[in-house]
Amino acid sequence: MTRTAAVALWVLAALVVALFDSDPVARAVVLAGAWALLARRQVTGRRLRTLAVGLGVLALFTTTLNGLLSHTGATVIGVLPSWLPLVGGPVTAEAFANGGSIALGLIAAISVTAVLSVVIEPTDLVDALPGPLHHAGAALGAALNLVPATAASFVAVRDAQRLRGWRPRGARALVDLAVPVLLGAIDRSVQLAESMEARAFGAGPRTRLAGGERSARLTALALAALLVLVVAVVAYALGETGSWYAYPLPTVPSLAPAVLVPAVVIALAGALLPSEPA
Amino acid sequence: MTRAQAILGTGATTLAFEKLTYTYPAWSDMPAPALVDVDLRMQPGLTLVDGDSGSGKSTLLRLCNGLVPHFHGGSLRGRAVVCGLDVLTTPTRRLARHVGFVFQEPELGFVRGTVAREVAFFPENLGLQRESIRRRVHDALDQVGIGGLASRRLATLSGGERQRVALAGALAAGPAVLAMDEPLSQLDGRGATALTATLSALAAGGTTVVIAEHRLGHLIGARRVTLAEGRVTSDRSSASGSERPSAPRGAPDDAPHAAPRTDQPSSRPPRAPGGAGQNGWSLSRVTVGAGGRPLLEGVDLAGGAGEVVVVTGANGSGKTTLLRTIAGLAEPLAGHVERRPGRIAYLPQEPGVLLHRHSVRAEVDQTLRWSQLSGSAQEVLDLLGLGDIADRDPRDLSGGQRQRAALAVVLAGRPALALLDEPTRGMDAAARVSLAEVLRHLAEAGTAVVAATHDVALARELHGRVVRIEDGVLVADEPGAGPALRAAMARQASRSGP
Repeated sequence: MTRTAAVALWVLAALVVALFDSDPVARAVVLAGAWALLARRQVTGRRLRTLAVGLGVLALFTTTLNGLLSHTGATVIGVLPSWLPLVGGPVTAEAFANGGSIALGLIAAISVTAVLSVVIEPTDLVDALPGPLHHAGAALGAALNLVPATAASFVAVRDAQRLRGWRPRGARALVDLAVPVLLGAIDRSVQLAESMEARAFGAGPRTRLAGGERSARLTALALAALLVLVVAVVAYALGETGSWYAYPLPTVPSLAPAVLVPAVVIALAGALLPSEPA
Repeated sequence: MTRAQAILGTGATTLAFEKLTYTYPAWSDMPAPALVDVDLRMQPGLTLVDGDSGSGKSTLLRLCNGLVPHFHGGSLRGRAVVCGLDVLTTPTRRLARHVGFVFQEPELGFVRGTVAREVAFFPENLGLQRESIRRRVHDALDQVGIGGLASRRLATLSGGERQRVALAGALAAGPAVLAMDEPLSQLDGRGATALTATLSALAAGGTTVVIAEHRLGHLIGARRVTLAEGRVTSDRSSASGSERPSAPRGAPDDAPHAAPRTDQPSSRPPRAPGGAGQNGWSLSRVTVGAGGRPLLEGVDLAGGAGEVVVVTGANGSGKTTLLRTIAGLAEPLAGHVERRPGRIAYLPQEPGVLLHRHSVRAEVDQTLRWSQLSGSAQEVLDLLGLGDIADRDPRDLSGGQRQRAALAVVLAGRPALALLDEPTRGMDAAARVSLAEVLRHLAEAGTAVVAATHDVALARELHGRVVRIEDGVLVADEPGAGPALRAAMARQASRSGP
């Protein structure tokens, strides 16, 4: 099992657990597992902080939105005037609890997906496509690399234009920024194509330096993820997932093994991922 | 005998161009032929291609691997054979099996996200075994002096480090022909010297190395082909078989030898630090970091209005971060930054960021309009020798011309503060002299100038104060041609000694 495939399998299994199961405890365990992995990898503190802040804002927004829009629940904590569109009516603690659960699922899913982009390069994911799709995958991977390059170009152009006297006022000002970024992206695409051509891309069968390494830990990681995936899907099909309800009164989160074990296993399995070879 | 063999003839000729004339496509705004009646044969060894900006050097190099004409289009007359393959009938990707290529702005062509993956891309495309790729990547990174950066993300590297990655990427393929377009333009003295030695060794080992580079004023043992307006105007081979020291970038081509003068002070008296005026800019105990890594640590530095400060240091030492901090583009984690009021001219390492309009003149006019200045674009265009190409599309210019165009864009209208990051990248000696003159005039008019550069010759011509940064720490701050500059020159000379 290759590194790329093992990580992809782990992410898939963790996503299934986080989204199929409405139990907040299971979602929290997956979230913790994803963050343990993010913190262990070579992620800069700033990126982690940015991600954490973004997820915090998302969680707050989701919880608040559900709390204000859903008027169901037994514990009324206030009443908004009925003439207010959508939000007018009783505000309940259960609506906020349900919003919190939804938010937990969302940020767990996003954190798990973030692991994918941190642990393996997006280019490796498409580059790992099997035989006949290999060249297409490598080309797509190279194209994906243009995304962060264009983002960096946006910052560089904005900084350069600002020092030349450009001010972000009105639609015309945005054009002054957008056109250079677009032209830069086109130039970069042309140069990328030229660079790939000059390095024999497409000349024959390719091989790969990375993404193909195999180890017992990777195999264990993949097997654990596969096992969790199968158990989670079967449990979902049989209706054995932890069903947590907020209304009319929040139920107690299930601590049944069928709910907790897959979440704990997938969270702990992340520790099996070996360091990337230099 | 095949047609290609007939052209190559007998012996070890790897490249042969016969009566070759090439014109870019009509839409490219370059009606005149880029190469005219070029007759050249090259054997294993070092060949240095020189000439002014826009003379056809990059086009000639692109002919070596068929990017011209296959990728760029246009019309080609004559014959070109590389490693026994007819360039006209062989696609670039096949020629690439024999020809490694390094672009003038290699960072624009990066395919991967990390250093080792990027270097591995070429050998991967050749279908080499994983172990072989791993070994080649390791060796190539060591050859260019960045073995410790294998797992770093490309986005976190300095310009010079990225250039080394591109060089390693070409070396890792082990090509028979290595064509390099300004490969030293962003390298520090140590990197340039190491690369020169590597290339000499490759040439001695049977590789045909073709380099277009202004920085290598002289290479004993190298054949030197000079281009002017697309024609080969001189083709000289050195009598000696040994390598001579590489000159600092921009050393006059007719200098008696490449080693910089280390024993003579500048002909002009150096300005005293801060002596030309007060309150240009200042950094007080400034610390800047990114990704948990300190880029500048506790820097105390100031420059007066009308003073020229030259910032030197190895690749990745923090020069760009220093400029960005002075400009207000990088937020300090600690410390205080002050700037005098007025417009800031900032030249980034990638000139393309500044060049998007249909002509160089329009781009300069835009700066004047945005800054609400009443000056004329023509003045700065003439000062930088851009009068003849002012109405051309910047994207159709050579690397050196684009660099000058970008300088004109930022320097228009006499800024209060000019921050220039590697301003002589891709420039020929004459353009460098003009630039030094422009910067001195700006300083005399009160502009505080800060230039980060590896170009020792530029540093000497600016007659400015020289500061040196190592690993984000200020280690020297002296008047022009002081011990730091002389030491830098001496180091450069000794490292590239015979």
